[in-house]
Amino acid sequence: MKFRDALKKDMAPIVPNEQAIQTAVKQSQWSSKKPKHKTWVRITAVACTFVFAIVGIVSLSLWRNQENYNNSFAQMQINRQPANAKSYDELLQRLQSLQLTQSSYKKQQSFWDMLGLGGSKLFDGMGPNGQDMPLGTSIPETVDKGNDYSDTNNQVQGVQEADIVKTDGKFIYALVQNDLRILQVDSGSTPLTQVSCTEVKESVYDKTSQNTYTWHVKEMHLYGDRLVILYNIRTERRGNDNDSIRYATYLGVNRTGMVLYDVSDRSAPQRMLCYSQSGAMLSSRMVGQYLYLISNDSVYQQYKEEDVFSFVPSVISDEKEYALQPQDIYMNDDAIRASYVVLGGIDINDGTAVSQKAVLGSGNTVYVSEDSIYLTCAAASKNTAISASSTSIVRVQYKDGVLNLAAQGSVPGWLLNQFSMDEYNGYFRIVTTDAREQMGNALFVLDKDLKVTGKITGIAPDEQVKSVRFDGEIGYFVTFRQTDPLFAVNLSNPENPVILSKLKIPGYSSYMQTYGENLLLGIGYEADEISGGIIGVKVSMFDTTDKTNVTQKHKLVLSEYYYTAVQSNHKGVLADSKKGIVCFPADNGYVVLGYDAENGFYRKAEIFPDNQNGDRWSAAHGRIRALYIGDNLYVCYQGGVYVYSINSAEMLQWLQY
Amino acid sequence: MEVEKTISAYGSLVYRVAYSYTKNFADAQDIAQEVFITLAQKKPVFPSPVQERAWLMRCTKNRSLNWMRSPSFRHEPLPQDIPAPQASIGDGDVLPAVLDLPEKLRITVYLYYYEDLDIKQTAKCLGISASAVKTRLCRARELLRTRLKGDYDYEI
Repeated sequence: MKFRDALKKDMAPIVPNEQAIQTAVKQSQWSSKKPKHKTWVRITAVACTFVFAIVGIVSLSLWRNQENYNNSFAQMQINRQPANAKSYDELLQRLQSLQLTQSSYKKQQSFWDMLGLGGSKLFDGMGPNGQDMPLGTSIPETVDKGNDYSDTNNQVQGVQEADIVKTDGKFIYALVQNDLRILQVDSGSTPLTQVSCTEVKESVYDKTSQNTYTWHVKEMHLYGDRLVILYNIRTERRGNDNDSIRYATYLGVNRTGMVLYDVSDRSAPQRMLCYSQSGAMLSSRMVGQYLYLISNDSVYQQYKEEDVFSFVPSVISDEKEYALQPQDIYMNDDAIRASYVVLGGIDINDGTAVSQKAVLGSGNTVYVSEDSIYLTCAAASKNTAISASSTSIVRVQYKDGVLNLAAQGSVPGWLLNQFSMDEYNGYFRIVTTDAREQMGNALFVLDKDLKVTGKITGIAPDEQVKSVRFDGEIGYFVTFRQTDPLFAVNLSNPENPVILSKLKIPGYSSYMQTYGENLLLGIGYEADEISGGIIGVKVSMFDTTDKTNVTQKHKLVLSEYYYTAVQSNHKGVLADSKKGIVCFPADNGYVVLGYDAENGFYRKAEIFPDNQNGDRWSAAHGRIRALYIGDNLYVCYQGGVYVYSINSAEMLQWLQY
Repeated sequence: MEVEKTISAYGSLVYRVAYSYTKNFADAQDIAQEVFITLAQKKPVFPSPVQERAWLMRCTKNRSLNWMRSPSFRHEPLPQDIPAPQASIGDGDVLPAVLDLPEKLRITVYLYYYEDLDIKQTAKCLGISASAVKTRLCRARELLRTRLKGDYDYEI
């Protein structure tokens, strides 16, 4: 007999008297108010006796804080015209004050944490710095029109996101560690052959600082015969330890670069030129022939006033390094950190750096529509550090590589990821969660100047947004505590968004995508209805034909999987209604499902890449991608590619690097 | 009411954890009350139910330890031969054996075997490392094997 079962049997009669506990809790809630009040009165009385004046000031400022706290939303709507820096001196002043507030803000955080009011919740959904948090818009499918191969799972059609695997229908380009591998696609018995393998990585030894600079290859973009590979430069410090304090803060990622390859001869890619800018890579987009590179550049305490390069972001193009001019740097007054978001617009055809801009204040999540880049970061409104849970939004307009700051605004709460944002018909929509003020979740519609035109607040208090997807005039989002309400919102009137329907089912979706006509795919988790405990990974198909009555049409629970990275990595998802496939990473493997409208989901293949190359965490780290070309499905992982036939789900080839 | 929901979802969990420390129904009930009162007053916000559960377990653990350190417990120990478990629980010998384990091993065994947490989750609830959990389970199994006559499968 199992010990586990014996123990459970023996303990079964031990049940609490829930009613007694509830009564006690209720009573204590009443009585607990009293002593609190007493302490407050006592403290006030003592304070009054000693320093009457101070109490006056304190209560005045408290009152003001309260006022601000209540009016923080109203305050955020005051039009603040963002300004350029006039000179490097002005910039320096601002940086100094930011570094001061930064340290006091940190203290404040830990104070709130101590009271149990802050906590990890504060940073929930922000994602670690420098990590590109994906997701959001109105492109229903990952497919380019007319082509019979899949594109990267871009949020906005026409706005390319970088990825580790790209295809043009004839070749597959894959970044594996620091190598660029080009694979040719044939229709014959061996669908895939490797054409070339080029090492992209480079290390440079710098004599003056005794550092070795190493490239860390991240992602790439494909444009015709040009391949753009993006990398971070990290310094590996050598030399004597007396320098350690000075250099310690410079360790880690501090430059983002791009190297251009001409791949007209696929068997021998030619390196053309390099470009780099300050900061760690945050995100990048490519629209037509123009690349927009976005990085986060922190200013450390050790800058020297006489050395512009130590506190102003710089760009290296054509092997010349130059610092950004003051008029190209925008002062975001919501900024709470001494750091910049650096934006570079580059023409891929001739490699010219068209324009560079920087915005003071860090960036967390980036959303790029067809003509604007929206940078968001955690912000503190002036005088209201208490309501630091707001999101600052900066809109940068772009066209043909030229960048221009267009507007600045903010909304209360935090956002989940890039799919929390969307632009449609000139209006910007954003879904946020405000945990600290118990405001619940909110949806805001903002105009071109980032002023709120319409909003729904207080949606599902105590719950958290788990995924968002906008589809033109309709927005869908999921909140979760024990069950998963899926909200459908009509956004056709920007001044009056309306919740159309609310579907409660157990579990929640971490990722949503429209799937063909009137269907919405959700990938997430199944949860126990009562305790909210996760049971396993789940895929759902929602019928959205009637927006006022969204229903769950099909679902499949994969109870052997416990985790799926789709929330932070939408590029690992391939869902296509034409081919009837839904593929996504789960645990350490990759799941390929089929879907048809009558029978719902069914399993096609499950792939657990071999661990021979020490590549155990490739799936968990989001490095498996699936794509299709014609009737074949290609699952690329760090050690090779599996080729499947979509129709028969049969493995045709296993190519190992 | 939020707290009522939490009580119905986690009431027995908190109660059983408290029981595995105190070995006493009345005290376990008191500790469970205290835990939920703390919850109702502090109203902490949890990103997910998993964290909520972990918070409740940590809180129960700390309350129980405080209770065991309290003067009333130390100065007026309950009679050792209190008939509660055996008399009211029936004839199983597993629970008495578990309750006889040292307090550290007891709670670990409870979380791992009764609550079906895995090593990592147990470690997180107790605020100790995974290898410490493994060591504790190993020691607990040794003690249980000598104490229990039946041949139980410990699923190592």
